[in-house]
Amino acid sequence: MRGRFLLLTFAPALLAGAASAQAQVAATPGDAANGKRIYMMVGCHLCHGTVGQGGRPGGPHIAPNPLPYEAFARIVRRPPNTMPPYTAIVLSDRDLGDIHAYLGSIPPLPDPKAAAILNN
Amino acid sequence: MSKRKDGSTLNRRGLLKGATVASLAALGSSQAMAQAPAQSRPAGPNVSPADAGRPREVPIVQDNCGSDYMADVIKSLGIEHVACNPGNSFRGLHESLINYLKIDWHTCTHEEASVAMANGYAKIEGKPMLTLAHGTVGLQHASMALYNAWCDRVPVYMMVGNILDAAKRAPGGEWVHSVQDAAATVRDFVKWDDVPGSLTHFGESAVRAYNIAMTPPRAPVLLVLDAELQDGPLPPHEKLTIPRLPKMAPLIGDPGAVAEAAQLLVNAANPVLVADRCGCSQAAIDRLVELAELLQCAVVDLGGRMNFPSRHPLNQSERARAVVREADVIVAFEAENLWGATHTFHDAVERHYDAIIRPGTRLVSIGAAHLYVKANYQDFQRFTEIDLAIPADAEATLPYLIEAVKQRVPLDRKAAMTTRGERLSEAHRQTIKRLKEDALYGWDASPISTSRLAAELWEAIRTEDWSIGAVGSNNRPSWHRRLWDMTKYYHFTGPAAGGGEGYGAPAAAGAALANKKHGRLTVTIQGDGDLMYSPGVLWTCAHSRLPILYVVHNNRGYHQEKLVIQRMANRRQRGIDRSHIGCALDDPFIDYATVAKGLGVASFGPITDPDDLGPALKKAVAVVKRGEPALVDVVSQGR
Repeated sequence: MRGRFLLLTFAPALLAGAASAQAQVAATPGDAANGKRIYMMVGCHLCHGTVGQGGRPGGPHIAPNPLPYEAFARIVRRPPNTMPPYTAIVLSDRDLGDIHAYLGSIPPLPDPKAAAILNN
Repeated sequence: MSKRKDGSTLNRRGLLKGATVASLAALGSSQAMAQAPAQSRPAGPNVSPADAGRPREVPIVQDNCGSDYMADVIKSLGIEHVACNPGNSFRGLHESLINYLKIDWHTCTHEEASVAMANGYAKIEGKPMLTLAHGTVGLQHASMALYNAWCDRVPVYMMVGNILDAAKRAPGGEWVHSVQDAAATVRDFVKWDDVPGSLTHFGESAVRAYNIAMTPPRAPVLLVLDAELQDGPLPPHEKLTIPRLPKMAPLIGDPGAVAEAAQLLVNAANPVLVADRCGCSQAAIDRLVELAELLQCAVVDLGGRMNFPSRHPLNQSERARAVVREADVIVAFEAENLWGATHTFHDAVERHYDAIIRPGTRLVSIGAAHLYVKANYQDFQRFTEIDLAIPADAEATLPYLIEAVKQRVPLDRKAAMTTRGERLSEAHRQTIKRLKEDALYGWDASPISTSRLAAELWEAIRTEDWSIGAVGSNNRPSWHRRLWDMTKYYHFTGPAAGGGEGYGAPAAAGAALANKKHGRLTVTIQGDGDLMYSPGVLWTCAHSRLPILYVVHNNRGYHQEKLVIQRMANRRQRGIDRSHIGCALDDPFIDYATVAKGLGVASFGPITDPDDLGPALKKAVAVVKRGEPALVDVVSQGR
């Protein structure tokens, strides 16, 4: 909830315009728990998997180490490929920031030694 | 045919043609006496309705039957198995096949399953098994599976029963199970059909149908068998023989055209070989490897069959766009969707597309699809501007193309070809490395990632002689094609070509039937939505002792449909929090292990912890190696 609080703190900046609003969201850590809930609810996981691992065929992996928020938001709002667009009407900036926080919270890849069967 | 007391033969047909007064008088029965007035008149419109169609003496046994001859013809074609849901319109042939021919029989719980089973069998064994159904209700059930086989160019050999003569139909059920033109239901997607009017006609048409089905492009065929022809005795004056099946010469491409294709390949800076349904035998794969190695060129396997070894350095399927983009010559082998391989299509508000290939790229297509096409169903794909079309069987033409290339490779080109091959090999190595890294994403996730599922299953079977019996309609998830070492034609036989759900489970059962005699272990990554179309085939596997491992890719819904609804909802900016409606299989979740157990199949799961998957698969493989089916329900990611 900390992220939500910070977002509300910068509410006047959000009113100034979308670009500045995105910058403010990027400055917040976001609410990862809410982000996970939204990520699942709006169907990000359908193509990108529940932990952002990607799908084959489907979307590319987007976590761990997601794109910086600005680039991430630009793609979500106006995808350059076949990804469905998530406009602000269906996904608020706040929720988008929380999703980004969720993706940022996903732990790093396992040690390849733990998946040694991939070498067979 | 029954012997009468006076020594003359008596059969149903003879009686129905009209009995003489003398013969009826000789019977001397009260029944005959009661019918005497009618006997004084010729048969025809003047016969009283009460007597019409009634034989004077009803035979209660028969010494022979038309369906025994049918069974003999079927045997002569080398058909070894039947998959069938029973129906009384083919009761005569059913009885002959089980008691006279004693053919290997596989009881199915749905006609769609029996035809899909025949489809999966033919793709492994390279020849048809027999499938039977009612000409009406059975054929309607079977129609989707026939369409899948049609789109997949698979020889399904089907016979259906019918009662053509209205005067011979029992009231009620036999009327609703009779039809004037049974094949009309499926004529758009069978290659040939016939309604034999006599046993001689049957013999000729049965052989003709087999020949047509097996001639490229291979496809389903259908014979409609009149019940009278099956059930009745052999006609006394019909001299029956079994027609000889001709030896078919291979359909080889025109030598001049083959030489032209070879010259294009040799002259090209970046030739690419594209194959879709070429790998129907090991010879086809081996020949494609020989050609690719000769040219040191890229190969793109579109996945309609196992066309090219997955770990061969020249296999560039994972970077198909890149190699197609830089190609100056593309030769396609049994690739009907060449437009799709050379374009990208964008499903946006206004649909549009881009060509991947460069202007001036020369396209050559070698395939049997150039020989035969129908109009109504659009499985022939979008028109592609091809420079050289060679109507032929690609597998049969490959040896000649290889020889033509050998004759034309100048010595001064060999170094450049070697360099090209090394560049492609390095790209392949990098691709494999990247794929293994990609597989790590979500490795410990629950639901279980599809890469983990494929990796664990590969680990469980890789030391066996294995075969993927079938995959779902969209060839998804496709990690097995990326991670597994596929070299044999039976390692992979492609998806449901018509996109009809309900293919995977029964087609895999048919593949298991074919693989069984070769001692192979059959596995399938089975979609949950697909399985629910004909789960009864699990019982068939148990009943028929088919050694097959079903690994249910249980993403709890029709995942592809979730994606397309999501696309619509986002495009219309209405949000997708309701897009699961109509697409999800939840509330309640389906417990496939319990379903399988109820159908007599050893089962494991639902598996939700990825660390539990390997041990469960190991146990299931042990069951299959004992000769029985097993199922592992894996709760998995969407893709």
